[in-house]
Amino acid sequence: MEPFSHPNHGKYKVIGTRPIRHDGEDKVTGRALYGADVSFPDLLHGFVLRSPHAHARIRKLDTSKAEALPGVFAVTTAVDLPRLDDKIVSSGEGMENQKYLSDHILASDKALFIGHPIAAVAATDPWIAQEAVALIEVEYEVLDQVTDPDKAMADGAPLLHEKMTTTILGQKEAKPSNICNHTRFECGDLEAGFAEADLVFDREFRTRTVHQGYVEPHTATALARSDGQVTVWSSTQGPFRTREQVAAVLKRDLSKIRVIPMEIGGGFGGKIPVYLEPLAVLLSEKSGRPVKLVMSRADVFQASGPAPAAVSKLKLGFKSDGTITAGKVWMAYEAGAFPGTWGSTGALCVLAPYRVPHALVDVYDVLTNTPKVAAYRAPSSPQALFGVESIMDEAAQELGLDPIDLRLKNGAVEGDSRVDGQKWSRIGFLETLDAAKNSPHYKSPPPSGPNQARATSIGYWFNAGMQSSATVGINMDGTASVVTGSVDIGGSRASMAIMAAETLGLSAEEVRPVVGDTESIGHTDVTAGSRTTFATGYAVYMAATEALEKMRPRVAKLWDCPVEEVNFEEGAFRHAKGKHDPMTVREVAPKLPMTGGPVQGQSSVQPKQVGASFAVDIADIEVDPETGKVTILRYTVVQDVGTAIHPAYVEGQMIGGTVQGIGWALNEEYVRDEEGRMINTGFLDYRVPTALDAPDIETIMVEVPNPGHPYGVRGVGETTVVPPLSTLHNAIARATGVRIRNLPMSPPRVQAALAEQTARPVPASD
Amino acid sequence: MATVHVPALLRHLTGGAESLHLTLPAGERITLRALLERLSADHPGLMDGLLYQGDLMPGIAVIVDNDQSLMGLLTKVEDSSEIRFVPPIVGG
Repeated sequence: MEPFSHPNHGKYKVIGTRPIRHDGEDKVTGRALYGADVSFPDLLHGFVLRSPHAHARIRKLDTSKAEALPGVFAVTTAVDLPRLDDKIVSSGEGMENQKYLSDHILASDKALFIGHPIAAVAATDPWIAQEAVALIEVEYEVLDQVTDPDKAMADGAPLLHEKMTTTILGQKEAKPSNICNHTRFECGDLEAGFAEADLVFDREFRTRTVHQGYVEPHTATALARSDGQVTVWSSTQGPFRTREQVAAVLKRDLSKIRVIPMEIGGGFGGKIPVYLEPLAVLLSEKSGRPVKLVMSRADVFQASGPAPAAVSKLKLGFKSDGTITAGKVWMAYEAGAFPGTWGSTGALCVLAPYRVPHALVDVYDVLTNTPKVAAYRAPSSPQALFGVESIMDEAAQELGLDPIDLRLKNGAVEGDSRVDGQKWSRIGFLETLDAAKNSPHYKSPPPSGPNQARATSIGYWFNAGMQSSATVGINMDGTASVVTGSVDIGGSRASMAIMAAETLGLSAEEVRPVVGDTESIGHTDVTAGSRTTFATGYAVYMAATEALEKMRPRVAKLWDCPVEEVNFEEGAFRHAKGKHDPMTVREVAPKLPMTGGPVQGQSSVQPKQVGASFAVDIADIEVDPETGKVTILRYTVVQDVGTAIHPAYVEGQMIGGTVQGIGWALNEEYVRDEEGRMINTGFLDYRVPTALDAPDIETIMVEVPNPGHPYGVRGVGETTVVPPLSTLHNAIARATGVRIRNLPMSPPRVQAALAEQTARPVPASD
Repeated sequence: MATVHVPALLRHLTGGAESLHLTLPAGERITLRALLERLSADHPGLMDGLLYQGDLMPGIAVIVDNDQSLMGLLTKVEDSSEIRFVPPIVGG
C-alpha cells in the first residue's frame, strides 16, 4: 500500500508529545470539583419517587402528606411540566418526539419502566427528602409488561404508547405498534448474490442490555432566581445540549438557562440525556433555594439510559476464495420506554467495513418496558458487528483462510460504496489489518495448551463532526489561553492545548486550556461521537490561526513594513526578505498594547470531513471447562488513530474501550426477574471488569492522517469497544469448538454451552 | 441528469426504482425541495415520505455528491448532483 502523506505529518514539535495533563494534579489530589461537590449554605436536597412497576397506569397521585412534612420545601409532579407539542426534533443524538420528553422526566398518566420518575421532593437534608417521598400516595393499575424486543414486536404484545405507530422516514404506519422505527438499506440483487456464493451462513445472535458503567452517578444542582434566570451545575457530556433539553422540557428561552459542566467521572454517551436537571430547576423555582439531586447506583442502572439489547439474524454468502457475495440482515434493537432511532445507526454499521455488492438490511427500534436506551461508545455498532465478525471467523475456518487475510480481501477502501450508498473517504482499515498481521503478537506462536486459542476480529466507528467553538487569547507575556465548550471526558483539554501550542509555536505548558460553560463560549455540541479532538480541535486551530493573523499587522508596525512581508512559519513571525530577526509570539505579545491592544482569536466550526476509525483485536485465551471462566492470556488492539495528538490519551482510549468491550463480552448484562425488575443493580453483581480482571493490553497505533483536519485528526475514543465482543467469541469458539451466539459469554453460559456440546449434566444455572 | 437515490422504504412509491433522474439546464441550480417537487409530480407521495410537518424529516441527513449538506431542502443542486438521504451519525 502507498503510504499516505499529510502535509504536516512528521514535522510537529508539540503534537505527538506527552505533556502532563493540565487537570492532572487536581484530579489525583481530589481537588477537582464534580457535580456532587456543588454546595450552598441554603442548599436543599432532592429525592425522586420512582415507579416500582414496569408498566402501570397512574390512577391517583397525592403528595399532600409529603408537602406537610417538616423540612420539605417543594414537591413536583408532571402537572408542573408544560405540555409539549407532538413534534419530532433533531436531538443532536438522532431524533425524538418532544412530547415524550416531559413524560420521560416525570410520568404523567403511565409508568413505563421500573424507576420511571413519578414525583420529586426537595428538603433540608437527603433523609427528610427520602422520608417525604415515602409519604407520597400513588395508586397504580398494573399492566402487562414486555422487556424483550422481539417479544415486544409480536402481535398482541402490550403496547406502551397506544397511539404510536411505526415511523418510516416521514410516513407513519396505520397500525399502533411497539415498533417505533424501521430502517432499510438495499443494494444490488440479493438473490443473485446468494446464488453466486459457494458458502452461505445463516445465523442468529443476541446481546443483552448493558450499562456504560460510569463510576460517577448523575448529579444536577439548580439555582433559580426570581427574575427567571436559572443556573444548573451538571455532570454532563454537553452543557449546550443539557441547556437545550431543559429549555425544551420547561419551555424556556435558552438565554434564561446557564449550564455549568462540572468535571465528569465517566459518561461514554450515557450523560447526554437529562434526567435530573429539569427536576432540580422545578424544585428550585418552587422552593426559592438551590436544590441538588444525585442518583443512587441503583437509580443509575434502572433510570438512566443503558445500551440496547439486540437480536440479529444474519445471512452472509462467500465464494470459495473468501469474497463476500451477499448479505441479508434483520435486527431489532431495544428502544426502551420511549421512541429512539439507534437501530438506524446499527443499519449503517452492520455491513459497512466490507464490500458487499448485494445486500438487504432491515433494522427495527422496538419499545420495551425498560429505561429509554442511550448512547454507549460507538452506539449500535457492537451489537451489529458482533454477528458479522462471528460469521467472518466461521468463514475463515471453513475456507481454510487466515482470518486477517479474509478481511483484507473484503475490506473497504476509499471510494468503495457502503450499503447505504455513501462512498468511503480516506480510511485506514487495510493499514490497520496489515499492522495487526505484522504485530509481534500475531506473529508469535498461538497458544497451544488445552482449551486455548487465538482469534481476531475488527471494529470501527464512523465518528462525528458537528458544531464546536473555541477562543484563543494571547496573554500579555505571550502565553495563551484556549477556551472551548467541550467537556473533557478523556483528556481532550490537553489535546486542545497541544494543538493551540503547535499552531502558535508555544509549548503545551505555555497554553492554559479551559472548559467553558454556556455563557462563556459559543455553541458547542456534545463531547461524544469521538468528535472532540477533531471538531473542537479544528476550532482551536482556526482560532489560533486567527490570533496569529491579527498579530501580523502588529509585527508589521514593529518592523515598519507592509503586512504582506510578514509571515508566521516554523513557530515565529518572519520577514519575507529576511530583513528582521524572527519574533516569537512571546516576543510580540508584550508589544501588543502599543500596537493596537489585546489579541484574541475566535472560531465556530462545523467540519465535515470526518475520518472513520478502524480497530483490529487479537486475543489469546484459555477456557476453564469446569467453571466456564475465560482467562485472557494476551490481548492486542491495533487502531487507526489518524494523528495521535497526545499518544498517552489515545492509548488510554484504546485500552478503556477494550476493557469495556471485554466486560460486555464476558460478564455484563441486565438480569431481570419475571416482573421486569433488574436484580443486579450494583457493581458487585453487575460485573464490570476491575483492574484485577483486565489483562495487560498492548496498543499499536497506526497513523493514517485524516485529510479533513489540519493536523490529520481522526476520532479514536469509541471504536475499540466494538471488537472484543467478537474477538473473544471467536477465541472461545476456536478453543472449544462451540460458538456462543448469546452474550454475555459468562461462566454459566460457557459451562452450559460446553455441557450441551458434550451432553453431560451440569448444575442448574441462569 | 440530477440523480436522487430513493430510500429503500420509499421505493414502493417509485415503482421499485432505486433512483430517479431529472435533467436540469446547464448552469441552473435549484433547491432540493424544488427538485423533489418536480420528481413527485410523476411519483406521488415521494415528497411526503421525506417530509415531516412541511420540512425534511429530522434525523435525515442529505448527502450531495458524497458530501453531507447541512442545508436540508435548501441545498442547491445542479444537473450533475447525486443526492442520497441517510440517518445521521452521532455517537457516545
